[in-house]
Amino acid sequence: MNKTRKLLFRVGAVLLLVLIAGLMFIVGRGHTVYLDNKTLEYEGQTYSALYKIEILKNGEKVAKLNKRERGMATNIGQTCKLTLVITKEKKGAEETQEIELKLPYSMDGIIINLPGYLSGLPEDAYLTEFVSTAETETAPEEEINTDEFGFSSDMDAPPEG
Amino acid sequence: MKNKSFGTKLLTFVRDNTVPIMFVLICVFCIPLSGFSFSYLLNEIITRMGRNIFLILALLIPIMSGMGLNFGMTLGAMAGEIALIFVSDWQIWGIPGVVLAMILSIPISVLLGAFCGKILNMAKGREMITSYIISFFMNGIYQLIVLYMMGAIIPIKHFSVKLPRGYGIRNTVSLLNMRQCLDNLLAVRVGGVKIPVLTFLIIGVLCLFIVWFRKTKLGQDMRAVGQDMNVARDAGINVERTRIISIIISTVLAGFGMVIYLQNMGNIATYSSHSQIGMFCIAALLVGGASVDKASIGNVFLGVILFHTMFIVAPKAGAQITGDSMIGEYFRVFVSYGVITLSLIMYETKKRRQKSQMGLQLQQEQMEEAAK
Repeated sequence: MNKTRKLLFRVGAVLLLVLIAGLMFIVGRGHTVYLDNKTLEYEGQTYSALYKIEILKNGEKVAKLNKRERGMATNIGQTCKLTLVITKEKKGAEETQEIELKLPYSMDGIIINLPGYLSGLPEDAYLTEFVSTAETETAPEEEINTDEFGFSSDMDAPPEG
Repeated sequence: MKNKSFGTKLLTFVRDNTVPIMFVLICVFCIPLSGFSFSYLLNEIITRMGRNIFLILALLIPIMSGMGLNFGMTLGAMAGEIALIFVSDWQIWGIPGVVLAMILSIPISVLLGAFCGKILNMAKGREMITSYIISFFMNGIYQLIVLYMMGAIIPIKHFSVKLPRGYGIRNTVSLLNMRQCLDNLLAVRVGGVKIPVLTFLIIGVLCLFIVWFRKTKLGQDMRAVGQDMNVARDAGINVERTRIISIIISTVLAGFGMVIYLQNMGNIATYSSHSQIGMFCIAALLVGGASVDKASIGNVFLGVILFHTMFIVAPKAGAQITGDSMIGEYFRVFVSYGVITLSLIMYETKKRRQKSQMGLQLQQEQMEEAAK
């Protein structure tokens, strides 16, 4: 009885850890969201860039986009809540809009075309994956000192190929 | 008579606390020379306390079970780093990333700790040097895995983690997206000094765990094993198992500690972050007045404060005295190694003195019996 209880506790603890790990895996997925204020062509129609868009995340300003500009925000999880302060035309009135973007889990970098999104286009029109050019670069890495004690190790790092 | 007894007490106190007293004197001498403001020093010390205390607390349990200073905590640090590499590859950020890395480090730490514990059981009485060499051996295995197997056999995809050649991990892995996430959550600023409340809460929980653990059956067994293995065995304690468990707990805690340490630093030096962590943690603990067979939570806190104060002020003070900041750099390295050597010598001397005193006492008793 005692042994069975012990085993059950152990299995329970392992399952709990696996469950927490799984949860963290889902809720902790980070994304870099690139926000474009650029004119979009979709199915023969043109969706023009807006005069100015200010983007706030959790009350903090993350970008201020004029026409043809790109801003960036980081987000943890698959839902990105943003506040947009939109000025459609020069000297026009400011309009505040709360948006909630659904981000695909598999994408690291996501480009959102704001004029397209605000016009109510489908996801495939305003959302594209950002592919970093750094992925194809083969330049050697910079030597960075990351030791808080400020000196090199006894066990030297191997050279990189 | 009273004066003499006070003098003897003072002498005993100085003899028992030579290292902390030496460090207090070094700090008292160096702080004014460095010219740092009080708030700057306090800020730095609090940051370093949050960063290092968890790791150093991981050393207490093996000391309790008589296994000395666990240089094998490096193995736990490696486990923490491997977990963080995976978390970076999967792009899990912030607190969830830290939690996931801690959970992932557990099975690796348990395996490495069990391996280390088994070997240390074969080398009873020589645990410290054995664990030190095991850490070098495991560093080789770690490099083999991280440099050749990750990306080739173990799936690693993200370009920011993987080397451009297609396998192996970069020299530096950025943890920018989880940098100081634990420290900043619930952080409080008092007079320009940032206090990482959550990190200190986690440290507090670990301190409570250690206090509680000492009172448990397993904790009592460990203390018994630490005092005398033969007596403990005669009392029915499974000495080998108890020793292995103590090393496993220490390794797991070291893995957690490394995750906390690296989230504070904001990046992993893949091939060197872990290599000196054991030595610096042990040096800090010894500076706090601990010895090979006795250490407390108080020693950990005092050690971190004194050791890191010296680390902060030494280069600047060295530059003030000699005009060359490198002298200060060498000084702190020299002191780190020196303090470990000094503590080991003092421990050995104390042990021999106790043995000889016991011998003399025994001789006296025998002579008295013969006289009767």
